[in-house]
Amino acid sequence: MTQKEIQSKLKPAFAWFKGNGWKPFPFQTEAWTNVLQGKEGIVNAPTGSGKTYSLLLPLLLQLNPKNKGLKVIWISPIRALTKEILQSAERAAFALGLELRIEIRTGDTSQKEKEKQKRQMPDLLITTPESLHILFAQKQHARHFNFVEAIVVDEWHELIGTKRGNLMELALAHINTLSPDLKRWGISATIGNLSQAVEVLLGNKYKEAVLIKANIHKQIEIVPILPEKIEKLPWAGHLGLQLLPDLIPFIEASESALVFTNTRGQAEIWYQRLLDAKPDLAGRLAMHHGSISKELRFWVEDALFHGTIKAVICTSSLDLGVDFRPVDRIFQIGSPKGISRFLQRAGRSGHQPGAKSQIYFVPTHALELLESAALRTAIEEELIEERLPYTRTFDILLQYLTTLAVSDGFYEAAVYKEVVSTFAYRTISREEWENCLSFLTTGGLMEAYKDFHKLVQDEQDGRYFVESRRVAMRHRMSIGAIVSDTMLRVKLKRGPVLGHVEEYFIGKLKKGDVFWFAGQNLELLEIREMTVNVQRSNKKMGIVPAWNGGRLPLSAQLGKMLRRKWVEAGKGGDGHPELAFLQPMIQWQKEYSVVPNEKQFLIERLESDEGFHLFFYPFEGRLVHEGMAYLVAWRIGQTLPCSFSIAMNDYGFELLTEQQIDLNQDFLQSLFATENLLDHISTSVNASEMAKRRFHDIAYIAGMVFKGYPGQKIKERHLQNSSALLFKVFEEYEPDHILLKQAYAETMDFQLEEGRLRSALERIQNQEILLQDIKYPSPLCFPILVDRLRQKMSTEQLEDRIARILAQSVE
Amino acid sequence: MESLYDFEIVSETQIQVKWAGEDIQLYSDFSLEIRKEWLVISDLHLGKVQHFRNNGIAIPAAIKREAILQLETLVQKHRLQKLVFLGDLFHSDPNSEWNDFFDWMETHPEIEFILVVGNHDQKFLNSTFSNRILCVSELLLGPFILLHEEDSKRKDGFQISGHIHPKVRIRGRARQSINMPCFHFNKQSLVLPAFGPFTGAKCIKPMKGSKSIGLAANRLWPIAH
Repeated sequence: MTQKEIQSKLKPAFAWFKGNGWKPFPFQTEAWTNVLQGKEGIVNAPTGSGKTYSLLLPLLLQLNPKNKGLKVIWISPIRALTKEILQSAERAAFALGLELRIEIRTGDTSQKEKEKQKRQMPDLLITTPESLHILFAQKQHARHFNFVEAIVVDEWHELIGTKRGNLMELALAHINTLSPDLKRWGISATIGNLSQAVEVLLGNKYKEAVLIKANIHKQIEIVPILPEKIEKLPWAGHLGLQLLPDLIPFIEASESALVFTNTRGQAEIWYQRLLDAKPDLAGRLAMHHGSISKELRFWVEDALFHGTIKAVICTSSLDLGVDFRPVDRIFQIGSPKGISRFLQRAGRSGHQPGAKSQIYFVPTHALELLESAALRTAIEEELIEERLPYTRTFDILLQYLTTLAVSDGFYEAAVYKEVVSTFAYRTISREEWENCLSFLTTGGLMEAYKDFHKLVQDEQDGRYFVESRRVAMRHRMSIGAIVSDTMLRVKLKRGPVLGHVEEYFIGKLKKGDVFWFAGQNLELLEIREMTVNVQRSNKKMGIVPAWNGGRLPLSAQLGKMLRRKWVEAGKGGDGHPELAFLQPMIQWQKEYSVVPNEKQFLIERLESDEGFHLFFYPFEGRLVHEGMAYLVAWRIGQTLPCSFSIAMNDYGFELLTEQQIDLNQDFLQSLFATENLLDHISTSVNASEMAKRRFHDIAYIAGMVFKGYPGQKIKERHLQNSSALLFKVFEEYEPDHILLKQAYAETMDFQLEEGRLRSALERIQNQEILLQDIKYPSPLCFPILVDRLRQKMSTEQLEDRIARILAQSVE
Repeated sequence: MESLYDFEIVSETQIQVKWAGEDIQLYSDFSLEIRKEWLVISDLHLGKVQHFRNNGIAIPAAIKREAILQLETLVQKHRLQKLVFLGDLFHSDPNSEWNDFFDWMETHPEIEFILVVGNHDQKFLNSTFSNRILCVSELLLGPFILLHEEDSKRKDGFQISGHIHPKVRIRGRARQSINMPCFHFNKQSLVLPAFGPFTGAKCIKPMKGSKSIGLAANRLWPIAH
């Protein structure tokens, strides 16, 4: 298209903007032009900057009206966002005078609606990566995609660092096969590895891609909520309820506020306590998290959109997307664990271009105030995290191959070409590919074909397909990359469904017990199949469900900044109000232990009734600490057989032993050596403990663990299985299995973050190691000491350990 | 108060228990011996691996041989006359693992095999295999009732059962803990650990007066609660 043709094509867009009194941003016109020139790439723009229209308008303007069915696919990582995109798209289509069918397809879409779409797809479909794959699993899915002109992956930064990103890569490659002229675009907020994000999105065709930057910088002000006196803040904790009274005036003073908590359980508790403390908030206070029913969630989102609500207590479920213009204040309770998450949340207020975003930081324990200061400096210095892509995820690949087989089957050569064109699978070898196929067809390399039934191969033309209807049905129920515990529906007796809780939580309750969920006290009446029937209760207090997951580790960048702030705090504070406020606590630390300077690494040693505690403080986040703790424990255990109990938080880790360990400077230095690092990690038994946890999700995604579904038959229940048992069996009988290897690789890359572990060790090696004996727990070690969640590591023989433990319990 | 059972450690792999006026033997190979004649094991879940494989879930097939190997070792060691399976011998529908098991059984005509039927064995009872092994719903041996699932309402004897695949957790100083499968005594009853190599286990809640014998590192470990 010539420049002139492009200008004339864009005329309606300019006219519409002008009619509304808007002026397109330079990045928008740049994107419009690039789309019309037939390019592919990524638009880098923050939420609320007009990013949707930067791609949507030119795509709508160039639609080929002659084709029936699907022309543009818009991918959103979360369902909550789809509605807003739908509204934006409808508004634009109407303004441009286009008569289009624009529809949503997600897990929330009704069966009737889905059937209608199957007969005739809309022109523009807004969907999620999972729903797209579920569509692939249907018979004759190819016909829907033959005329697709473009796919836009919105909020690509949210997908890239997860296995959902791999689902997306495969989907892009597949649709590109079905529609060779497909154009692929992404929209991403700023991340540390933006150019890699382009490469991951476009696979082997990334070189011609464009990266369009909005360069919009928002002003962000971080205001810590401080109590009158530091004594009011606990030394450890994660709920932050102590500051609730201090928070109320700030909520009162806002038009409309979002209060971010880190877990669903925390959201429930805050909601309950806020209402207790301020009963007149009833009706103006709401709650939003991923487990409450979609009706409730929609209602809250609507109320926020129209500004009819004072405050919403929420979790990451409201991190993304939806533009709530009336929101003028954001509160963050507890550490956000990462700079970009914090920025994203801060950006939920002050949506008007140029408006300043204010975010209030509410610490849950005293030391968390360091993070408030660290975040401020990190934002000033534009420090931002990378989102590293997953690669070589065989669990996802096996799932995808089964998806294609469940549909109309696939031919090996064609799919191989498709798969290796993606970033994630570009390095898989022919042998690994064969491994995947044999895993699906014979259930293992040297196994007999006849005793295994998943994929079968057509003898005539070599097509792989699924014969068994039950295998197909189970597969369709299990598509996706997010693994959660089995969820039960919570339903009011003769009333609506309120949401979902984990089976694990309900399993601990008995009939008549009261629990707090979706902002109500509920009495458990009965559990029937997958539904928990409840009625409202007048009892004042109930148990709050603890949902699994949600314990995010501290990012490397924030950790780095925290180390700086910790040293600064020791020197008086450097102008941050939080650090000045923390001084009494710093004094305590100085008196009973020590505050290290930047050249020192602190280890605290404490003796208690439980045994001998050693505390180390690398400030690298709990995952890296876990790996480092195993490594250090294992290295100590090489000099004498020893059993350790390990605990960690984001600031440091603890090794607890029964016996006293001799520590001199040289020995201490050697514990952090980088020589033989990989060897030492993999020989330490506990690397496999971590891999076992990784394997849990892998086994599920690859279809080896089946969780069941409502109304299942006994037959299916006989297939329920635990990933831990499977892991044990694989370790013993097939140690070279691709999924087992993947578990180890993931442990190295994402759990231990081997690169980050190595650089942390190098840093510590160049520091002076300070071993400080302490008589009482210091402010720094206290939160770790009280953590009851413990890991184990032992270099003793099993029989010696048992004998010792049993001898102790007799004493 | 006099204890309801007395333990005498014969060796690392054998414990003699005086219970209900009888001497019974517990072995580190997950078996129980009564009156030097009856050997009892529980919850083999034969066919489970193949059942998974038939449904497209690729459990390593090598583990199928493990159960038969363990059975053969058991038979060689104890030179037994009567082998009682305390329920859940089979996991689901008939498959090749069942054939392997009956083939193995035929190599031991000297042994009398008895199955105390469990909840997972219903498919077996309805199958053509059902006449190949003596099936009973429970077995009375002196003061003992051998049945698959403990029935707490019954008071007419000392119950020996399986079904729950018990394991026990021991805790020591410095927050150490270890899990292991176990025999579990609770006054009037004894629960056997699961013999099958492809079965999970469930942690028992220790009650007052209960006692467990843990199984780890090829040894028996008496544990007081």
